[in-house]
Formats: sequence, C-alpha cells, structure tokens
Amino acid sequence: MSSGRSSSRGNISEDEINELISKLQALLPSSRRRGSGQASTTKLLKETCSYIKSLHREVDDLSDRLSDLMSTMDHNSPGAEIIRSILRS
Amino acid sequence: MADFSPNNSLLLKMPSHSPNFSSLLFYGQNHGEAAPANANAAAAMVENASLESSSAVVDTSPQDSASPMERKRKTTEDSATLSSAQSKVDCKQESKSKRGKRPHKETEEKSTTQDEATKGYIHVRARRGQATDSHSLAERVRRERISERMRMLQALVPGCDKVTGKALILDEIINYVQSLQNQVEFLSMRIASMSPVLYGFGLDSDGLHDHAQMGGMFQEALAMPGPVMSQASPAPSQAIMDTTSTTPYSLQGQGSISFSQENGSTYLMQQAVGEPTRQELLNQLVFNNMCSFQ
Repeated sequence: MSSGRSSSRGNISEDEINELISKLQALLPSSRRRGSGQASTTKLLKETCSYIKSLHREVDDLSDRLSDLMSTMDHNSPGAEIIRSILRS
Repeated sequence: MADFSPNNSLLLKMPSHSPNFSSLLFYGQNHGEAAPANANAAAAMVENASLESSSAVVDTSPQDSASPMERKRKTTEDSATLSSAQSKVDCKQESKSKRGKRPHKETEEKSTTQDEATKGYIHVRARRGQATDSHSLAERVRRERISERMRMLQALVPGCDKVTGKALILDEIINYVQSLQNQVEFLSMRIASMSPVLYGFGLDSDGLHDHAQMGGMFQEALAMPGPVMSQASPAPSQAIMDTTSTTPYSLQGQGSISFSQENGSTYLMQQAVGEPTRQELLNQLVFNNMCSFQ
C-alpha cells in the first residue's frame, strides 16, 4: 500500500483519513451510480458495514453453489477436467 | 409516577407532581405514554430525595418504527443538578446534564446508538469538564456515532481489533473489502465457467466472433441452473483445448474488467489477483466464452 499513511511522529493527519475514507467510498457499490461528492462519514461507515455483510453472504452462497456444482458435474467432460486442474493448482 | 418497564429498562421513580423535572425523560418506548419532559429546563433541580440513583441503562432496543412517542432518557440521580444546556442537535427536547458527583461516567449510556434520522432524538450526556455549547456537543455526538460505527466494523473485519487508530482500521477495512470483492468475483467466475451453457453473455463486437462458439463447450454435462449470467448463447461445441491456444483478447490486457450481471451485482475484476498461472488459465477458459463489456 502506499506509504506515508501515518507520519513518523505517529500523528495521523486528517487528510490521510479523508483519503482513506474516499477510497472506501470508491469501493462501495452504492456510491458508483451518481457523482457522489457528499460523503457523510456515518453513512459511509454504515454502508460499509452492510456491504461487508452482504459480501459475506454472497461468498457463502457462491461457495455453496460451487460445491454443489462440483459434486454434480459430469466427471468426464473436458470442462470438468479444466476445473479440476484449476482447483487443484 | 413510577413506571416499570420490564423489557425496556428505564425505571422512573419520580413524584409526578413536581413540575421541576424538565430533564426527566423516560425511555418508555413501548409504552404509549408521552413524556412530559419540559424543554425549558432553566434550572431543573431535581430535589427529590426519593429519587434513587437509578441510572438507567438505556436499552438499545431496535427502533420501533411505529413508536409514537419520543424517546427520551431518564437522567436522574440523587444529587444531580441538571444543567440547562440544550443543544440543538436535531431534537426538540434534549437536555444535557453535568454529572457533578458521580465518580464513574459509564453508568449511563448514550442513546445515540439508534438511527435517529427521522424522528428520534439524540441525547448526549456531557461529561465532567466538557464543553456544553451546542456546537461541540453536536460534534461530539457525531464523533461518537462515527466511532461506534467503526467499532462495529472492527467487529466485522477479522483481525481488525488488534489495530488501533482510525487510519489503520480504515486501511484494514479497505483491504478486507477488496479481498472480499476479489473472492466473490473469483468464485462467480468459477461457477460461470462450470456451467456456461445457460450463462451466455451478450457478446461484444470486439472481436470475440470466433469464440462465440465456445459457449457450448461445456454443453454436454453442465446444465446447472444458476442466475449468474444473463442469457444462453447457443453454440456448437468445441473442444476446450482449442480455446487455450487462441490469442488472448484485448481485454486480458486491460486493467480492470467489469461486467454486470443479471442479478445486478457488479464484479469488478482487477488483474492484480495474485494467482497468475491459475488466473490466466481461468481467464482463457472463461473469457473465451464471455465477453467483457464495460
């Protein structure tokens, strides 16, 4: 990551925090539609919270589906071979 | 009137007739009572000796959306003098109080934990020695909300509780969110590659012409449903190995590829996924029947 996040004195400047916050905002899906200049920190943090939770759910869901898929797949298809090789490596 | 709220948490033991308790706020949100908390607490001295120092812990029960009454806090102590500093932080009836004699300050929690966006009130207790003008109080309320949210995030993100400092926590959170996003996108690509028959993409005009046929490459086996992709692209089946030898698309050289899918979720892919060979193999495998559109 970029250096200079906190100065050597240990003081974390306000700018760095703001930069972090804007980075976080850029990651969030909800702030992508409109040109969001407003970044109320509270709302941001709350949205990050819910986003992380939804990402958790999504990962769980996708993993479940993947495991189901793997179990029901035809083992002889070439696609399965590739998938297996991918998953093995 | 002494109200006992068994589920909610505020005991209010006050004589009902004394008009001086402007700062008497009860937190009975499940009761239908309106608290007559007089806002004009000019010199609200709670003089009643019958007041026990039941510093009620504010129950942070989830906000009842239909609660008609305003939520207020009870601030009573035996000898507390309630100051009249009314802050104008988005509420009409709010009173701050300085705790004169109470040694520990944590016995009363703040009721700022709820989202008081629409109709609630934010009640803040000013601690000893802190400024009580409205600006700093509002500022403090805001800071406390932020720090509470940060604590929640810290609880969510693993490994974040060892970090202290706002910037570090934010950094951790950013990393974690990015890694989660990568994970999600990787998983979904795997799934997509395993059942591509139903998951065709609207093919771009960018030169994926001869590889549109790869949509059927898994056709023989994988017919798993899954609303990951939009529509099926029917195509004659081809051997998979052909695809790996094709020239890579221009999209592989791109920094970031994003394709939105039917369920509305957007997966942003960055080439910085740290599994080069595997990723490339997967890339070739998957991109040969997917296209990228931004």
